[in-house]
Parts: sequence; C-alpha cells; structure tokens
Amino acid sequence: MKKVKFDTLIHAPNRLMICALLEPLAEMEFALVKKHLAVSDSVLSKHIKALSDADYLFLNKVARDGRQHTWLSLTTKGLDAYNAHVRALKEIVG
Amino acid sequence: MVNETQKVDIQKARLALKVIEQQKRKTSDLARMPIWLNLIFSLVATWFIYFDLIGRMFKVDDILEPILFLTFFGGWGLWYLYLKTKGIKIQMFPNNKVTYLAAFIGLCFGVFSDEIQLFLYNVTYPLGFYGVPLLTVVLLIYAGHRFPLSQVVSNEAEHEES
Repeated sequence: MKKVKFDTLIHAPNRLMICALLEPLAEMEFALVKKHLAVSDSVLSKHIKALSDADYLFLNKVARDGRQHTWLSLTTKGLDAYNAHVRALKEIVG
Repeated sequence: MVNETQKVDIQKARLALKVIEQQKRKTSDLARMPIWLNLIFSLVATWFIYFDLIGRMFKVDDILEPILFLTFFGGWGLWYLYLKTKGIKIQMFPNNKVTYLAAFIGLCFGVFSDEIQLFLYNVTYPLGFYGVPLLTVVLLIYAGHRFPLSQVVSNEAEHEES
C-alpha cells in the first residue's frame, strides 16, 4: 500500500506549482519556471531554496553563451514527497 | 500528519489539485509537437515497425529500413535539442509505471515483430494488412498529441484557456 503523506512544505501554492511543473520533466530552466509562475527572481529563489534545503530539488548550474543558466529538477526524494502529497490531496477530496 | 491533513478542507484540496492539473497542462503544451511533425514521426515510426509487411506489398529497398531508423531517432534528437533551447529537458527513459509498461509492450512487439507481420500478411489480409498499420498511425498521433509527456491531464484543464 502506498504511503499517503500531506507535505506542508510542498503545499504552499508556488512550491506546489514548481513541483507540478517539474514532475514529468527531466529538468526545466529557472527562467521558464519564473515565467510560468509569474513571480520575481527573488520570490522564486526563496521557494527554490526551501525545496532544495529539504533535498526535494536539485539545481544544475550551466554556463552557456557567457551566461549562467540554472536548470531545476526534482530529486527522487522530492518526487516521492510530491506524489505522496498529491495522493493525500486526493484522499481529502475523496 | 493527521492534524495537518484535517486542517486542509476539501475545497482547498480541490483547488490545489486544480492548480496541479493546470501546471501539468502547461508542461504538456510546451512539449507537444506540432501536428504536422507528429504526423511525420508517426508515419516514419509505423513504416519502420511494419517495414517487412509494407515491403512485401510495395517491394521497397531494404536500405530504407536503417534510413527510417536514423530519421526517427535523428528527428527525435533534434526535437529534444529544440525543447532544450526552449528551457525544458524531457525524460529520455521510462520513469513511471505508464512508461515502463509502454517500453515493455514495445520490447515484446520487437521480439515478436516478424511473427506479427507474417500473421497480418498471411491470415488477416487484406483487412489486417492495411488496418493494423493504419490503426498504429492513428494511435501514435493520438498518444503523441494527448500524452506528450506520458501524463494524463484532465479534460477540464485541457480545455481551459491559458
């Protein structure tokens, strides 16, 4: 039986959106995540830090065309936590 | 945990699930091929899958088989690079139950490919001979359009305005 765990860290709207965006992908670039969430760099960075501090998110920094690009991906722990959180939400809804 | 769960009422949980569906739709929209490219990929893949079967009818040269293979995977590589320039990297290997199942079915089909094509040619001609490859093209186009990231997006989210 799968574990159902409500995760307060993921449940915050912006962090939930970040996880939902990243879940089916290998990686997504910081700028694109920012565009989809329609938030500022600093707000997104704050949420990313919260997720990466919990080992839910992995940041891959790559230099390209003389600029640094940050790619975001969910870690296995993050993916498990997100999936468990979605199951918990579905259980609440019934 | 139980207390935290109880704090979130049904309405908020429903809203959170709706937000998740909206994000899933956004990522699916980003990764979805234009329909003309989807059609080309599906036709090339089907031709490659049923190469022997189609070759029996139209006497095509065997050299086309590796060309189709390279066209498909070369095109796929270019599509991957194009998406990368747009800011997303798609999963290249199975990572969930649906994709593992799809890979398993593909593997089984590959192993029994000759037997399946012989069966279609010898037993089900002409209906299966034309029908099965046609059905494959339609299924590939549908799957590529509806599930570009192998994830199901609810119809409500699919039809919402951006």
